Amino acid sequence: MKFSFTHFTDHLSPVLVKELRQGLRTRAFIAFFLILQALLILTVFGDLGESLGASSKGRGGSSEVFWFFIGAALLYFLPLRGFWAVSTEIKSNTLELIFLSHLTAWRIVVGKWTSLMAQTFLFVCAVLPYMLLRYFVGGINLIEDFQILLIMFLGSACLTAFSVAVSAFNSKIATGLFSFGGIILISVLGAFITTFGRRGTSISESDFYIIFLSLGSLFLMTMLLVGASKIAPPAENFAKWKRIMALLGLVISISFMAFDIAPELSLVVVALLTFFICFIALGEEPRFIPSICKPFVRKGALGRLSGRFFYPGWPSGVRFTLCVTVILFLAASLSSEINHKSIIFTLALLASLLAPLALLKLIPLNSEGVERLGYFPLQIGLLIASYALMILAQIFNVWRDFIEVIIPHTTVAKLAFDAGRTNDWGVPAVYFGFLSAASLVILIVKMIPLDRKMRETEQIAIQEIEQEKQTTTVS
Amino acid sequence: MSQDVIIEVHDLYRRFGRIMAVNGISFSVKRGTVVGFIGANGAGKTTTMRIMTTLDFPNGGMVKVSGFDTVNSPNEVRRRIGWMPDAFGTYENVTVWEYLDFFARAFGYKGADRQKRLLEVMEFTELSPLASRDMSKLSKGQTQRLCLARTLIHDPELLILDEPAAGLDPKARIEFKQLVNLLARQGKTVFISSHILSELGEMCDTLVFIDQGRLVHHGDAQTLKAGGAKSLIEVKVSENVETLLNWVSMNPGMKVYETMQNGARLTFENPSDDFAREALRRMILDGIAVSDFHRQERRLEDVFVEMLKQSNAPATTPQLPERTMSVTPPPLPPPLLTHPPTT
Repeated sequence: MKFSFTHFTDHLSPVLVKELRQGLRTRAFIAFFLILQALLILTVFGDLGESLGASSKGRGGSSEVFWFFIGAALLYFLPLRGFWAVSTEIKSNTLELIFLSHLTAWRIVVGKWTSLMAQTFLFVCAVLPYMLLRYFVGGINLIEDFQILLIMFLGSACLTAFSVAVSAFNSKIATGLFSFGGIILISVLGAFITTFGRRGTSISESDFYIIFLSLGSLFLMTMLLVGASKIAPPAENFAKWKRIMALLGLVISISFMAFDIAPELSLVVVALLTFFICFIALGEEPRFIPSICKPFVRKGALGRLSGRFFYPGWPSGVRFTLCVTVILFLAASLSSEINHKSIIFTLALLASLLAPLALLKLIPLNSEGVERLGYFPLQIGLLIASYALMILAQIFNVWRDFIEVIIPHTTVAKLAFDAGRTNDWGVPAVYFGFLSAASLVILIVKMIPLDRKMRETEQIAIQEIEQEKQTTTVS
Repeated sequence: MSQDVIIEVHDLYRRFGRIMAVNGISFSVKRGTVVGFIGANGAGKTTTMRIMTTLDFPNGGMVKVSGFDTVNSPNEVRRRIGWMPDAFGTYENVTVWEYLDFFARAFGYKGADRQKRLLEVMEFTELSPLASRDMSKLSKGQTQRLCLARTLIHDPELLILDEPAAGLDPKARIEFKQLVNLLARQGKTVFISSHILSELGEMCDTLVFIDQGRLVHHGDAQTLKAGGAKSLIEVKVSENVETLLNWVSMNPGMKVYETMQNGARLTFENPSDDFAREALRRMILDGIAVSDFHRQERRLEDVFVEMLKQSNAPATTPQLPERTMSVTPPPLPPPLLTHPPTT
């Protein structure tokens, strides 16, 4: 299509155009923009005062204030707006109207995120003159400041994606649970990055940017996919894309290992993200809709086989989790020697993911009960229970070793943070292995009727494809 | 599916927890007709409509729009329908033009085509003077017109309107009805639910009654109303109504259907003109001060209420078992109108 400047907005997403029109006019945005300008002017005056009056005392106080304001804006206030991005549309009954247009859930969520980032970019642009002023006042490294601003902007992009994803959860409990899980994930990722930075490992600046950009993009895309999948109609298969993201993460991690770019850090970050995706996959209910099967069955036997890993629902989620665990284990063994601890970690992780699901499938509940006691609430409940038990055991100093391993979640957390205190890992290895195997057996048995139903759905999809072909031939 | 059928609902079920919102309903809608969808609050109207529009999915059965399954081919269905919900939110800081512009963009209109389409739609819904007004500051009637304009942007062949006249003042209601009539004349299929049954009767070719998630009646509006025309007589008196009511109670073959301020509506067992003439003669002879005596067309409200009564009567509402996919819809109630209309 030929570019026309008159209608240049035709090339932008409709959601972006609408959100920008709406967002830039809100009182909150205007007030916040003006307040930030006023604060930055004050800090620049502070800089000026420091450089003129008390050069002997050294600089730094106003610089910290300057970065505090920018950091608060970019990493807190601006991403915070994402929490209302989709939820207001759901509550006001307008999201459904958008869905009935040609916009897909993905385009809606990405449009919302892009609009928020465009407004954030506007803030960043407004900050640039103050940075230049500070440079002329003296005492700062402009390149370093630009780097900090860039990292903050990228961090803001990731946090905004997270808040937009949270806003897609209609239920308050689901929002709370997802926020809880997401905050843990962000905290752990942040802690790992700062820990590695503090230790002064051999991560060069370029390596840091490569890791930050690639894994940050992965996190961002995963969050946007989670948000889109929450509002998408049942016939859209977002499970496939989320799982592809996990596989992409594994590829990135293995590539980093091959090029020796912080192999341990990238493996840990990717493992966290991958198991977060597996966690979501195991909580999905299977959907038997022929249109979901069509793209897979069109590719023949291989396509149908890949469907076993990429169809929405926990049965394919179990297969995917197993597959990913094996790949991660092999990748970990490439980076370092396989030791008893890594085997324990893998088995505990598998048990922590599969055992609650198996337990849930064994409880005969009606549909309402299942909704109340879903996979995610059960997992969060187990996590809280395990930590509560651990604290109690530490207070009363009883059964500490036993409590640390009885719920696999505790072991996973302890080993992930390299803080396991048990010396004898023999018994837990057998326990976690048994728990994983038993859960797997239960899940396989429960999968059989669902797989049969999925094969029937695939047959319907094949018939529909045949009919479509005939119709096309006739027309 | 026949080419002239635009909506096909087959054995549709939708459950919310323990509540069966839609309980095995089946019907079809012909292309180019205006269909009224009638039911009390909680009857399952909105749920059915939401399934038709792909916004909800059934637990059993299926809905096809222009031959496309709403679950399996939602995008194909969405291209063909315009949905107007009973309640929808407005955006802050967005003008009428910008709101429609957003949807026009979302439907893929670009450049000059988009502008042209917006002007057409705004002209049709008489929104042009309000183009630059903030949409959150519109009146209820104007908001409904805006919603209709949005529904029409992509020129859908089927319009599904859920309680479009609810909350409108009489003037806005008349205007809205005129718009729907215009759309019907343009050959659009309009599937409309409303509580204002008299309006539906004037607008609709076909009426679908549902109650407690079950289909109660599906038929032609004119036949439905006219069918009972000869059995209802409205009598007005210039004296105490009690005298008329006492007189009716003492005369066989007639009953008081409804008492009015200055008379009553009566049902005659014998719908013939002779019986009515004889009744009037006897009234006058017995000293009833009759000031008006005429046959009345059956109101849709009456038909609706009677159908609900029949639907809820034990003889006509067998207890359905817990939902299974093989459950057949309950039998339709016996025909309401037993007397053929006479000229």
